[in-house]
Amino acid sequence: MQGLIFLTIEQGLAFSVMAIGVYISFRILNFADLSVDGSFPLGAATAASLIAAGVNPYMATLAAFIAGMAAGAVTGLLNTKAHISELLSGILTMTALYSINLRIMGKSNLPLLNERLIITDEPLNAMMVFGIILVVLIVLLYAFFYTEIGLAIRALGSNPKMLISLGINTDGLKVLGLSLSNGLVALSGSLIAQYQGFADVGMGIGTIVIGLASVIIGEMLIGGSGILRSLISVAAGSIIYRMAISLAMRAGMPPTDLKLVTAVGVILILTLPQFKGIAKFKRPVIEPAGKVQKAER
Amino acid sequence: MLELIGIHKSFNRGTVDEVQVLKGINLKINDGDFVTLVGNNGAGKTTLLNIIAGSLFPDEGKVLIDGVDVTNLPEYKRGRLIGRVFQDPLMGTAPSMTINENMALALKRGKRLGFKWALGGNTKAMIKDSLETLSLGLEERGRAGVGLLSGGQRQAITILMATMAEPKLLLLDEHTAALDPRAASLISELTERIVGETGVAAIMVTHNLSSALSMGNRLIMMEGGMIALDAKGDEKKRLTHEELLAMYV
Repeated sequence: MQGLIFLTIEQGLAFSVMAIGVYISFRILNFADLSVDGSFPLGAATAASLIAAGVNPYMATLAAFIAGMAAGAVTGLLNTKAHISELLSGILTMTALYSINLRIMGKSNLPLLNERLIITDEPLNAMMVFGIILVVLIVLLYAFFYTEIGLAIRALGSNPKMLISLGINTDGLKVLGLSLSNGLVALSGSLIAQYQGFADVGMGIGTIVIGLASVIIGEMLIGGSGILRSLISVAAGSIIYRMAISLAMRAGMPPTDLKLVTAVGVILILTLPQFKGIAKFKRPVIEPAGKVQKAER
Repeated sequence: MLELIGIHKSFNRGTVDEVQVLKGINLKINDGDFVTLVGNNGAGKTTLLNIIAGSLFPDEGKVLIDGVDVTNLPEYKRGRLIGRVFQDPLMGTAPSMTINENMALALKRGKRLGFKWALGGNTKAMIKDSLETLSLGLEERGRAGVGLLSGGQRQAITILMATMAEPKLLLLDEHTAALDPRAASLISELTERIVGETGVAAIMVTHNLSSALSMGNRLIMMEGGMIALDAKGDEKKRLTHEELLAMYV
């Protein structure tokens, strides 16, 4: 049992980097970015191929982050320069990445056997490494969102029209924010690939829903305003989500039902509060803030 | 400072729904001018403001600011020269951020954003000084979320944000229309004071004829996409409420 808890926490830590990426696009930028379903395996594929080719695992992990940033930039450019809708930009990138990921790996599944990774098989090593990465990322992101550019990215999701009237170019900020988000998602993919010992082209399916589930769980159970608190609650949400899943599997849920259960779970969380009596939680807001504002007027 | 030459604008061009909104606007606004702009709904006031700000581009004609042709300059680039306050008090501020954070962004108008702390150095002190001029007690609430403030408070902050980085031109689009009478008069006073102190050239669209007459040094009335009246200085002072009302078609 104890071993299972450790495994779950390790997974949760690695996935929480992805959840923070989804939080940045979905909550801070207000951009429903589906490209994460492609950038997660992109990170796994990039890191796994480089490691298999003998590259230093830290460099390979960093390369995964950069590859993810490039993918996010493509989505951002499709949306801002080609004027393709948010959803379609993400779907186009995600679809294109499927082929790119296969090309990077050369096959649909790339095992990492006996390679040097950023984690070892020693007990608690993965927890420590992932924990350090997560803490460093949260501190860096927290600081970033209080710089001039970080502040402007937050304002972009809150009120883009204000930024334009302040003479600030929103296109560049959007591309930068999506790059950062997808970079984190890809980084998470590379951590998971090293943790489970292989990269698989299909491992990204449902990333957006899992990320969203983590964001909502974190907001419901911890919540609060402020960037630091939000980042921590999203990371916690990811770990709690993993625990719930592993409990369900112990109780006999077949792993193949995982995505269905996650999707149904997100649907329930979003719809149940509509019914009086069950409405213990405030309904999590899924619609972008801008649209909610319009409804208020 | 601002010059409009032969501005034409129509919507739905080439269809049966074509509407000619602006039919050859020529207008020159000097440094320090405070223009009140009145006219019927559909006279083209907001379209004119949008063309000045770059949210819309004219079909024909030129927009010059300080002699430089900005007709095709995108809106965000013109935002470096032009401060703007909209009718909707929610449009000028980012609700999920604090007062300080909103104002810090406004201080960066026309400057490059970097990786410096947005609220570092003397920025907080500058924001506090600026908020004090409102006398609304907001200087003590810099860390409060803007989404928690009333429409009047948000509009007051928006005016500060529109003027604190010294734009060349201030555009006010019925910026008191959505406020209760008290907040509206507060915002009007604030507008006069800030425009007076900074000497920024301003254009204020309003449907309130008393404010149109009492505020500013120049009154322009638009009608059917053209300028029907342009009263300056003494001519504007002599204009009465009844005369103005009679000119509405």
